[in-house]
Amino acid sequence: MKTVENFLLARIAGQHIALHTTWVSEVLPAQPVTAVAGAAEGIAGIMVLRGRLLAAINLAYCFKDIETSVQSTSAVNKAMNVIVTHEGRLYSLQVDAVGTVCELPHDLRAPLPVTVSPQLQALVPVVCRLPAHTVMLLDIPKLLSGFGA
Amino acid sequence: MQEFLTETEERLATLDQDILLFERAGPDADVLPRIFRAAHNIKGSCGFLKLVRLGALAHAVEDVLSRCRDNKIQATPQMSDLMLAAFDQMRVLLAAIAATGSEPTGDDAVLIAVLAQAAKGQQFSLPDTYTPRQAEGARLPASLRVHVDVLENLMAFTGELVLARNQLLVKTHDSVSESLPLQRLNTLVSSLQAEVLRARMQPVMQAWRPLPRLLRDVERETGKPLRLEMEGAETTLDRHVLDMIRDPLAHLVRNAAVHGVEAAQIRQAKEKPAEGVIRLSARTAEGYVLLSVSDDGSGLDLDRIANIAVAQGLITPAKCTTLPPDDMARFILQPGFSTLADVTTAAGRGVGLDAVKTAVEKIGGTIKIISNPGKGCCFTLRVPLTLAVVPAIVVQDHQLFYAIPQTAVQELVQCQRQKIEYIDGQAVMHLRGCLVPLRPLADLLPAVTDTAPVMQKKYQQAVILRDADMIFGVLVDAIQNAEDVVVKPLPPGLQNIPAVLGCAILGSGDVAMILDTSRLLQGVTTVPAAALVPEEQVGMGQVDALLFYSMTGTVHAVNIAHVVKVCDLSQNNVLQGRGDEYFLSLDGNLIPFRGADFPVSNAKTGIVFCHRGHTAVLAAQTVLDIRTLPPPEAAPRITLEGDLVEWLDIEGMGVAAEPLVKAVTTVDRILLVDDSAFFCNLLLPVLQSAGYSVVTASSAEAAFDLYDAGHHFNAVISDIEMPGMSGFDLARRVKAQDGRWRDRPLLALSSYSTRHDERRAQEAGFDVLINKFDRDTLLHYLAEALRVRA
Repeated sequence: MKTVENFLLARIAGQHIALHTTWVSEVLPAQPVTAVAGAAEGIAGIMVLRGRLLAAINLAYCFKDIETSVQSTSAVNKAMNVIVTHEGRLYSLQVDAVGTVCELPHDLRAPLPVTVSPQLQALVPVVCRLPAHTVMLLDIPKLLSGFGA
Repeated sequence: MQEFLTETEERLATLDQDILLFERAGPDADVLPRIFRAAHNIKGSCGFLKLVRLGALAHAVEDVLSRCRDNKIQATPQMSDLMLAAFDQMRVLLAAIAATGSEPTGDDAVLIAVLAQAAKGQQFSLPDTYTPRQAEGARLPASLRVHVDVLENLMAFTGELVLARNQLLVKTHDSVSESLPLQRLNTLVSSLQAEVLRARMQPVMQAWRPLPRLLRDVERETGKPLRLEMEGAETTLDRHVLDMIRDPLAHLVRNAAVHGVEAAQIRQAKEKPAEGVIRLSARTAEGYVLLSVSDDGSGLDLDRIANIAVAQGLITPAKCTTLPPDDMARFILQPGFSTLADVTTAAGRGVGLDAVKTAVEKIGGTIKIISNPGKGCCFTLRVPLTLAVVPAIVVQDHQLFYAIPQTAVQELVQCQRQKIEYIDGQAVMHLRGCLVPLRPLADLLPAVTDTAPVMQKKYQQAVILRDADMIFGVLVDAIQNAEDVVVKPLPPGLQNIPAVLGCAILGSGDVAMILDTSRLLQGVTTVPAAALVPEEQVGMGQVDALLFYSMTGTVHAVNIAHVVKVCDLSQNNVLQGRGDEYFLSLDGNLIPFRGADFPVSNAKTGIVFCHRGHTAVLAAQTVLDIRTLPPPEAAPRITLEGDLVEWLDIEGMGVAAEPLVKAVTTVDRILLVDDSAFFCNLLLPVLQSAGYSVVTASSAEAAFDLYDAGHHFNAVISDIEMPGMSGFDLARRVKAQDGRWRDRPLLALSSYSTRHDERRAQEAGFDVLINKFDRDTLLHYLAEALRVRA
């Protein structure tokens, strides 16, 4: 039986990315984020979600090596927040825009070019070629493990 | 004791079922060892708690069960009856213990004799008086065992409720007084929060329980005779805090036994008793619990500590000679620091005390070491009562909010640029005769944004913090408000941030970091040590005075004890009476201006003061500072930084307006009991300025210590919600005894009060329950109650 894999498409720092819907719990518009002194690089701060506090991760940080005009990783209210759940904990991934949910066929997937930095290779094992553009499939557990999850 | 009663009730209920099971299943059933163990455990607990009568009965039952288990005697239905009768009798004794706190008089000789007959396999008959009562004798236990997860969830939901309440209060700030349902909700949420917190509290004995065994093991290993003494075992702490201090306490006791107490021969040579004493004590103070572990050993070898500290490069030899002994002693809290040459299984590896320090600081606590050479050493841990909800001062700095636990806050100072001075580039402030080191908060925390250096930034506010015996100030952009914040752990990915205990959602919806002031102080220690001024140096034997520019341009000082309020004057609150008579409209009262031979309409600031029961306002240009000065009797005029400062002659100002409170003709001595230093400091000057002599106690227990010490008071004012013994308990105890305080006026204070609370207060023995913030009512009732009693 064919396993259906759905991905949420998003855009960050000029790149198209895909987030496996297994991890995605909801998508929210821009939310206030409180910057935290001493937070790890890439963490924009703390966001409140219905009384729960969660770390807001600025995904632009992950793509800084391939994006020429990346903004500062300090508290920037990105346009959209993708709330993901991992091991019972919530995180907010800040992205510039969110697209549709779609299937990404395996036969259109390919490994990331070797010219891409090892850091990004670790987070994006494969890319998928869509008619309009290529999207990067983000390994969310690996991304979160880099932030102490 | 309560725990024992609950546990034994549960055991007896299980025993009833097991006996019936045993009766049905026969001797081969594996239930007999379980019955035996339960009876044995009851006996063991009775021995520990010195419950002789119950213990004797449990022992007799255990004998019978032991013989049964060993097949020496046959179990019969008659024997089951005997067992059940014995269990019923145990329940009777438990009920009496629960009611009176001790065993009833009499004995169970007849029942024990029958049990002995049964144990020997002899014929016996059940005495008529001990017929099994079946279910009729059973009663529901007064307490229930609840899984910790349920309590944790309850606390989490209550935290959310408190948060929602806070947000509601912020949103309806202006109309809250008119909104009765909201006030009711506010009161209920506060009560719920207090009860849930209380449900999480456990006696410190829980953490002390393993220590006698630990000491016995050390005794065996070292051959030193040791005795453990405990005081204040009933002091309660949040279970989470209790969990966190369990290991540190064990470390300290082990260290006291191994390092502190000398070998018996050495002690005898020093004319000390051969048996070393290790003493544990616990008491509450100012929202914290002080846990001490002391020994009567040799004290710390400060010379040896100094040598090791120098050898490890922790201090220079020159500094050794100037470092105070208590500071020198603190080197033993450094990682890898050990003065013991031999490593044993008990101690000496140089790990332990630094772990103790880390664990205590992790929960926002501190450690104090006092060593008395030749006589012993005392470690005092100061830990918060709870980590769930923290009363905090919320400050703002660089657009971020921070919550500083109120227990760490000494005072809040409004500073102007010129008052901050710099010594070797370090900011300092003269505060009532004390040189307080200052650091911008942003400098003490990792950078968030580009921060302006302290020399360039104009700070408006300073929060003076107290940590152990030291004080220091942090400069912030603004002080927002005081708020009870619900502590939430930092989300994953943000943990282990230095100097941050957790975070909180404020009533405004903003997120605040809760600061760990001990860690902040670690940042301050980079300031030259000389800049840190011991707290004891602050204002000794002098008077705290409010300095202000009078309307004539001279600097005046007024005893701060007389000052009720400082307020801005405007056309809205200054009213003109007949002729040149002016009044300040304040909280519904008209207060006359005094000492004003100038147009009051030009004044910007009003200093409301109270003297001998009379209240008046003094017009001023501006308030300058609070300083500690020699009293006016010693120096009516003094020179302070080039300015001539003149004490205000309150007596000569003709303060004889309509008294807001009754004038006090004789000096009445008042006992003020409140665990909050903040409220004590708030009420103390109010009572003192009304002419009362006031003594404060930080808990009901401390109040009764004063009673036991023979102190006399004309009236007692007590807070209701206090850790340990509550205000209600205090009133009941005062009224129950035929002591000196029984007929004294007893006034209760509470932040929130309902009619139910008022009824409870009166039932407990209080004359009246008064809102904590309603000073006029307090003074009115106090004067009236004293007049009636007189």
